[in-house]
Amino acid sequence: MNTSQPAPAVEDKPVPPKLAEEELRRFEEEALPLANALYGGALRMTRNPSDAADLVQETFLRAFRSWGQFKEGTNLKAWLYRIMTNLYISSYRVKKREPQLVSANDGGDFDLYQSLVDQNHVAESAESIVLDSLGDDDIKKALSDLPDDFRIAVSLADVDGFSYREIADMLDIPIGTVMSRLHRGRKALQKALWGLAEQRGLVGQGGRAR
Amino acid sequence: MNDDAHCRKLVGSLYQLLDGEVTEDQVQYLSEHLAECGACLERLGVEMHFTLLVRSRCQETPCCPDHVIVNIRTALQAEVTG
Repeated sequence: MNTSQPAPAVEDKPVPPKLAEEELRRFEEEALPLANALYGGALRMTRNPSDAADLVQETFLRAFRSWGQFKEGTNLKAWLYRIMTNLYISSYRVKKREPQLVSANDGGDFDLYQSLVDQNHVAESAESIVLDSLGDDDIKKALSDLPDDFRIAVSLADVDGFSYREIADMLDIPIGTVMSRLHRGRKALQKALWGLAEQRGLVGQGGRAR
Repeated sequence: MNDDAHCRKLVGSLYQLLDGEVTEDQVQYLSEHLAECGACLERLGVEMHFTLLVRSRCQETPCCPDHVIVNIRTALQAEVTG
């Protein structure tokens, strides 16, 4: 073996500062504009502004460190969300682990359509349903009160608009689990909002399970 | 398959249909059923409406605070300059 010529030690060389600066500029240009979207998602996950700020900050730092792994042309927002959900699940959620009262908050098979039919509200279904008259804060709070797994699945699909595949990748769970959390989460949300509508006298008693 | 079975099948894949996560075969089958079953069509309408309701009411969140952006920029710059 010829030892007179040292092998090029590419890995040992620090990234030339100029190149690193260029990468940083590119990252700031492409990723940083997504800070608002990420912050919204972080608020829905952590449910408080200070944790959301920490989570977003940490997400961008981690993302920059793995920036080389991002494949140009793929969905950058989904990639950042994946880092964020991983961080949330591995640190924030563990830190503030709440008892998961899934059974108590489970919507079971609440049937919104049948409940509307029972209340003679279905004729108006296409354009409006009785739940429309609830306030934004009512709906945000009901979403935020869902058990963690349901809240995250419903937020990612219905608010952020990610596909089943993207959510499965973010949460490292099978697509079937995404579908089941989404189904149960949506039912739980409908049940909670229906209960609120009952309290407000917008509908009579008797929401119905299938 | 009787009508009830068709309806159950639709209910079973309602969310997939709504989320655009069905195969072409499923779409074909489900749209045939929807063309002849008013109740299932209404049900789909209600679920679609509910999903849009959640999206429109929850999407608006405060912007990422300026100081957070500043902190991020500072931390990133530190990564580069060491």
